[in-house]
Amino acid sequence: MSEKKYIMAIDQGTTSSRAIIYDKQINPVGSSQKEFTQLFPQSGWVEQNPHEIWNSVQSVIAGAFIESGIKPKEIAAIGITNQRETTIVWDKETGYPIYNAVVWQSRQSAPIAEKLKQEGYEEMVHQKTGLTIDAYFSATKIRWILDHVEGAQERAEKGELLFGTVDTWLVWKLSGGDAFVTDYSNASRTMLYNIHDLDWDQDILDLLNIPRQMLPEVVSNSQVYGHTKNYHFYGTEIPIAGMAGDQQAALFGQMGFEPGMVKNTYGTGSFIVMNTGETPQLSDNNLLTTIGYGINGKVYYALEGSIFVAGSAVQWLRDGLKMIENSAESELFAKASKSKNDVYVVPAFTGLGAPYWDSDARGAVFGLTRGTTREDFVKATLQSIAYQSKDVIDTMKQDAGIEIPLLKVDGGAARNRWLMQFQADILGIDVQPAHNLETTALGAAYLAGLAVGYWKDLDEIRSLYEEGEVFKPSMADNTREKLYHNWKVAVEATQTFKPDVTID
Amino acid sequence: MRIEDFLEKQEKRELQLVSYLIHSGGEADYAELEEHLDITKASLESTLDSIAYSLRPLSENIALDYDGRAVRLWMDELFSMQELQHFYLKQSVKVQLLDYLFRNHEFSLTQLAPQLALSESSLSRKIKELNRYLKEFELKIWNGRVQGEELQIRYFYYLFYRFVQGKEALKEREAGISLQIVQTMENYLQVSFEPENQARVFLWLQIAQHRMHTKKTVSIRLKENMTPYMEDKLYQKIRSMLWRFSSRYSVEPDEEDAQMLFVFLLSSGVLPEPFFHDYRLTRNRNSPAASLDTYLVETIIIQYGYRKLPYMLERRMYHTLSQIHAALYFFKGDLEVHDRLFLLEQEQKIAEESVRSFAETLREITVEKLKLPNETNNGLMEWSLLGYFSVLVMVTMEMRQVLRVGIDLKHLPMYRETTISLLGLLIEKVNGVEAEECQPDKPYDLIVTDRREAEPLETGGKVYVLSELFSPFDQKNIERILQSLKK
Repeated sequence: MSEKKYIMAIDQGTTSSRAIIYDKQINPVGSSQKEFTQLFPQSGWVEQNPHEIWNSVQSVIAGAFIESGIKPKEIAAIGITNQRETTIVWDKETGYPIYNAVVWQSRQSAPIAEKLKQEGYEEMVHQKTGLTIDAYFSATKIRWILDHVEGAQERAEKGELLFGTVDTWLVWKLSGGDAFVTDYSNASRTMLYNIHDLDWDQDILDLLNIPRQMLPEVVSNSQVYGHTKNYHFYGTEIPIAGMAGDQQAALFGQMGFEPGMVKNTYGTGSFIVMNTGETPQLSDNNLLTTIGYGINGKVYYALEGSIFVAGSAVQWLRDGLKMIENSAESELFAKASKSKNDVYVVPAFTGLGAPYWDSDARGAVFGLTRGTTREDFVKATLQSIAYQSKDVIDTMKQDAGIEIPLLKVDGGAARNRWLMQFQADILGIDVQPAHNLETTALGAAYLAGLAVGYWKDLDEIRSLYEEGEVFKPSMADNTREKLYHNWKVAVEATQTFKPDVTID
Repeated sequence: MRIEDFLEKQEKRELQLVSYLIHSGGEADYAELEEHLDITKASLESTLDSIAYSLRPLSENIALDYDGRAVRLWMDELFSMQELQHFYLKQSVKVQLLDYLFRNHEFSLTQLAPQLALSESSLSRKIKELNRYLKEFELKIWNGRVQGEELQIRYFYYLFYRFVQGKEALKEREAGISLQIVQTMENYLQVSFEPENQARVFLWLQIAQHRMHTKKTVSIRLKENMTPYMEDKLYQKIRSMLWRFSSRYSVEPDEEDAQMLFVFLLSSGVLPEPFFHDYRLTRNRNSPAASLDTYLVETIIIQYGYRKLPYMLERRMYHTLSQIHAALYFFKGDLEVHDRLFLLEQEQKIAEESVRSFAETLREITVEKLKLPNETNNGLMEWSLLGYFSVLVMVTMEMRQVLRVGIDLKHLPMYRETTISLLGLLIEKVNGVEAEECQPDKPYDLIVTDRREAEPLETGGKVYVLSELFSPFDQKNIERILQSLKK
């Protein structure tokens, strides 16, 4: 029997699927990526073909094997990380979805969410699930599918239909329908899962008339859920042993095992997740309480805040304002700026998120003078990403009552050294970009490896983790306070600007 | 098996001679032909006489003129070599024998020999010869019957009536019911076959209808190979369609009939691409071909380092590869209608050097993954090489970057436009190049100009200054630059 030398991580994202094969020292030895079709049936609706998601995963599995030359039987276990909240309902017998996958961004179920709010369920839902009522989460998407596919409600009640987020769908497919499971992190993003009782919440299920029998079993993030059918894995049956939603997987991949550990993934937007320990901390500032991961019989909770505009602000500089030619140039321009940080860009292009929650706010720029240069403008835009991260992290500290000694970061903007230094300066804490920026896939790989004993325990994983460069704060306290105060003033000023949009 | 194998030695030689004349521009002298056919002058003359005799019924389509020194061919513009081949095949004893066997299921030498105007010993010899070729299909004429797996028999006769005997030979037989099945299938599967593909399905069904009356059939390997497909949704649908159909008409298909129809649909390329695409997304992976299709598509993508293939191109790749793999998995043997080696050589002309060896690599992967026996006499293996080659050519051609050439001629006010057009035509001889008169603010990979001024052109691309209009020197240099830009 050949030695099991590798772990495969499947990272099923919103626009593409990837498979990465890691060796024991977490070196990626082969990978493959495949995009799939995004469907936009109506304005604000985003859907995907679940079969296409599945086929893209099959393709990247093959691609990773071909690229690496590794044989399927050499894989010790598979870990899955996935786009969260995206909702799939399928026929238990045939395995055919009854509707497209309704993607997390899709707003088609917004009226259902709005109705729940109007009926006064916001507090109840928040208390039970840690989430605020929104079409973003799976619950209203399931309701929408059951309402819009003929006979679906009746079939669901008869137990003929199954619901799953993408993790569930993939495990079900890989295991040939044997395993129908989801993990804590994904379940906690459905708005149906009681994060205190660790069970589907019957009150919310009743409220939305969702039959419990269509929901998967909720299991830990690291255990053997089932095995690949040999025909899905080139003749080999491999344990599927790790699962986590993408942001939680990134927290795990960043070694966020202790309470107070925070990671920030700078993508188009920015997702900040903080490990708050074994007790859920409900936010007073509309941050989301979620389950970070559950492993070895323990469940670790997390607070999550997101920034709507992060990397997209840099894209705006490049594509909208044409001030830079590529993202890397933003770092050069910021360095070249001679201004004393007196320009403020508030990129509230689609409103302001946590902790302001002002969807009517629109972007603004303050502090312009005759001497303001392009370099100053670019720098102020980068700074806005750091200020917004501080807004969320300060709120987290306040909600959780936990000191944050270090911010771990990943994602595209984590390569921008100037931004990382400013982030450390404005937070007054160390900022550490991950050495391996693929933290999401890494998190899934760790979870799978732990379940099958490929890695003994968290300590062994810690010993493998290669620390990235640490950016230490070097800004004087009074400068930091002044800059952040001015940011708050800029945001306040932005919020006062509410033009009458009814006039043409 | 080659299509010519149905002919006798003399008939083969006659066709070979006509084919040579076609490739030589319609005329050849005796010495050339003697050398090509490896025969003496006397044999050549007797061959020519024999052709002239044979071609009498086709005098309005084809004729040979020979005078002891040279041979000249005349062919009507609407007549082809293929039709001539058909004309010979129709008269072939082996073809008549196989046709008789299909129609009558069984025969005895004493019964058949007079019908074919042969002695019993001659007939036995013909059967022996045929058995040598049928071995590739794992078939054998024995005890008055064609023996072997039923799927192989149907597959062989499908090729036989499609390429050798002509579909019209079967037209009247089982036509009505087959047509009804095609129509039912179109409705039931919600598929619309192209007319040519509809005719192929129709032919398969006619053969199937006829063979359903055969009592003793063997389907051991089919059953074994179909095991992973039993839960396949398309198979289930075909099965249920045949069952429903049989409840209304006097047809009695069994499980194997449904299986064989399914195999035919998967491997013959008759399913339209959009239909196949939908099927592919939902098909059961517990089928050897399904996993292999994905594996080979990814192998091709990785080999060429394409970050992203156009979605429609990927779909077409799957459509073709899937047919190759289903055929290799289910069938044995192939009827070589066109010279594969010749086709490969032709395709090689438009492909990069490495494509042939990569196609062979793909075939090796297939042999390994499908656990195919290493059979040297299985024509399908050679056919698959051509198939892989075609897929690779299709991908490399489509993914090839188009180079844009701008022609900027400032010193030719009078003949400018004509010169630009002519120069454009010469430049576009290089594959994947588009040439046009230089447009301001448009990016070009290469600008060909007659400028004499020293100032550089405002272009990110390369510039070539013509030394002389239409000079082979310039043409050679431009081609060299374009080839280097492609890399």
